[in-house]
Amino acid sequence: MILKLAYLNLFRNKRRAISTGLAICIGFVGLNLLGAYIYRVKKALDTTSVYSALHGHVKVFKQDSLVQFALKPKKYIFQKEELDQMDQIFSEFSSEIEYIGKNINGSGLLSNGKMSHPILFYSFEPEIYAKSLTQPDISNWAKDWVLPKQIENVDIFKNNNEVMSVTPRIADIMSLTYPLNENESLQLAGRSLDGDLNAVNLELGAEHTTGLQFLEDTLVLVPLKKVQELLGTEGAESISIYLKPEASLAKFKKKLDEKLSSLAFKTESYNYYDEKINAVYLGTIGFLVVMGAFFVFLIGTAVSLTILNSLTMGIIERTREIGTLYAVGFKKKEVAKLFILENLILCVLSIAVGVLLSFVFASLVNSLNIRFTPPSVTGKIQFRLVWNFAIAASVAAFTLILTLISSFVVMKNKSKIKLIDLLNDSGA
Amino acid sequence: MENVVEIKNVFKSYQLGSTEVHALRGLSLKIKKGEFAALIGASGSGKTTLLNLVGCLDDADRGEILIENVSVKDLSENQKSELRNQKIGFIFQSFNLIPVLNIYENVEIPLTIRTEMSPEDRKTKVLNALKDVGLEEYVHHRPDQLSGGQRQRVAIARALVTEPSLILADEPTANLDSKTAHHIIDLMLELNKKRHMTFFFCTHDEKLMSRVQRIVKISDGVIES
Repeated sequence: MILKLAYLNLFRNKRRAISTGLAICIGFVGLNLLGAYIYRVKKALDTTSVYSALHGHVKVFKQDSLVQFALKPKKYIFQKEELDQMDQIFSEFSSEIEYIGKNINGSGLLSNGKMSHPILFYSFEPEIYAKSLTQPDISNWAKDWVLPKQIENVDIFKNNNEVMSVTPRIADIMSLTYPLNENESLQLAGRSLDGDLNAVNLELGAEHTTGLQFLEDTLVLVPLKKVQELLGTEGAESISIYLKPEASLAKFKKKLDEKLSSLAFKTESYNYYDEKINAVYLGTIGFLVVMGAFFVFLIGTAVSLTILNSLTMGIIERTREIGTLYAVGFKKKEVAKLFILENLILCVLSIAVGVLLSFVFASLVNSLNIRFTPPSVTGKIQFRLVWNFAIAASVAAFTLILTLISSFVVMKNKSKIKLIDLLNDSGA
Repeated sequence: MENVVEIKNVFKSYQLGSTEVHALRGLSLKIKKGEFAALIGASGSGKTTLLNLVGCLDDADRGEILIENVSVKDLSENQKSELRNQKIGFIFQSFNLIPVLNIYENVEIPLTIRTEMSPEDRKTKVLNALKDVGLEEYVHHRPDQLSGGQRQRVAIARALVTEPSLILADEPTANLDSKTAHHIIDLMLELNKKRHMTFFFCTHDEKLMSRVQRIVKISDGVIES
């Protein structure tokens, strides 16, 4: 009966019920679309961090290597025997690890015989590079952060330890063409681990993009074997571990750290989103979280105020009726339940409409293929809204809680009115 | 005969702007079970205040009110709600029906909070109450589809559906024409006889007073006779 009364009460002042419902609905749609955008950006960042930037899900370094490697590379590089010991540990996690890559970062000078260009080099293992670029997540989430040529030419890198990749910007600066002319060659010059000058010859395989403007004229990808040859080592600076989709990152890292602590040499591991190895990720997500929180606050406040206003008006209009309910024996909590139910019903109906509108709006935006260039990103990316059940359920729960709290606040305040004053109210 | 209501030396005052109005000044009164008593008096004499106190709708400043030998002074708000639901029925001057509910549902309202009652029992009681007031054929009507007299009948049915020991009515015929007012009083008298319910109501209608078993006159916050 109370449920029915709550439902029927919605139709007493249809205009107000519709405007309140509309406010809840618009708030719900707004939060959903915001959630859909943040989710899409987060997934793109996750994918580019793990696969395009070759961080893997977890990256292992020697302790203090992040700070000291550039100064004392020989001390902080994993030697071959150390890598072998770690491989043994990794083999115990075969159910969680999909594949593993080794990396060395460094700086040097890239020359084609006509001009030289200072670069940062990032090593890759051909098989790992090919495997990472062909992950389904890349095409699902990070298409805009990978050059089409990068994926088309991925086979060039397989089983070829001579082929390097440059960005279009570097190719432009150095007037490089792919493939290189017969009389052209590339050399990478740098210091070995012992501090001696060294250089290696390379072929130009294809182009890649870093996705970031500030790295686009700097970063090249060089096969690990070639980097090892340049540095005069068989070791690696870091190890990137790529997990299977079903693996839990947190649990895996905890277990891995325990195992690694048993080694004679000290290591440290980082998740792909750790600011120490991926400041861009943290900066972008941080910005989105702040922006998202701001909008959640704005929308939440607007929805709450609408509910507060609507409920207060409803109570004022029905003061005598509330008094009658008390007079026939209703307790305060039962009357409060009636009004809260009214708002919850309105909220559920608004959410149902909001789900439909969110779906339509997200589909429309995605079909329009709106492209834009976010700050510090190379090239244009699609403004995509990836909306799913988890987002809808979270926003629905938030909206319901907001409605519940707003209703409760009003009822708590209004329950202080004396029964006799309720009954004597003219209802004006 | 057993007292349904016993009022002992009750005081009640209100603050009206900067003036303190003494509505009841040490009023004492007993209403016996099965009585059909009318409370009369001039405007501002304290009739409605007294009914509100007896109905646990308001609290006395001093003195004691017992409903079926239970003092209402120390009851919590929830206990008062239970007492109102189980022992007291209200008939308001303006009927106070819920416009979005039909007649059946309006009468059912006080029973919906009785969780121990089965739906079948509830239905039987509601239909019996509607039958007693002659509105069994109007169960699906809404209050705005009924006349004033019919609405007051619904309010009476709502008051008696819980089978209370006391029915309080504040000017139950004030908003009705004379003929309808007589019908309502007839109905109340009939229920008083048939169900042995105690009626205590205030009225200004002098024509009705001749039909009332007991008249309680209140003047300046005390019982005159």
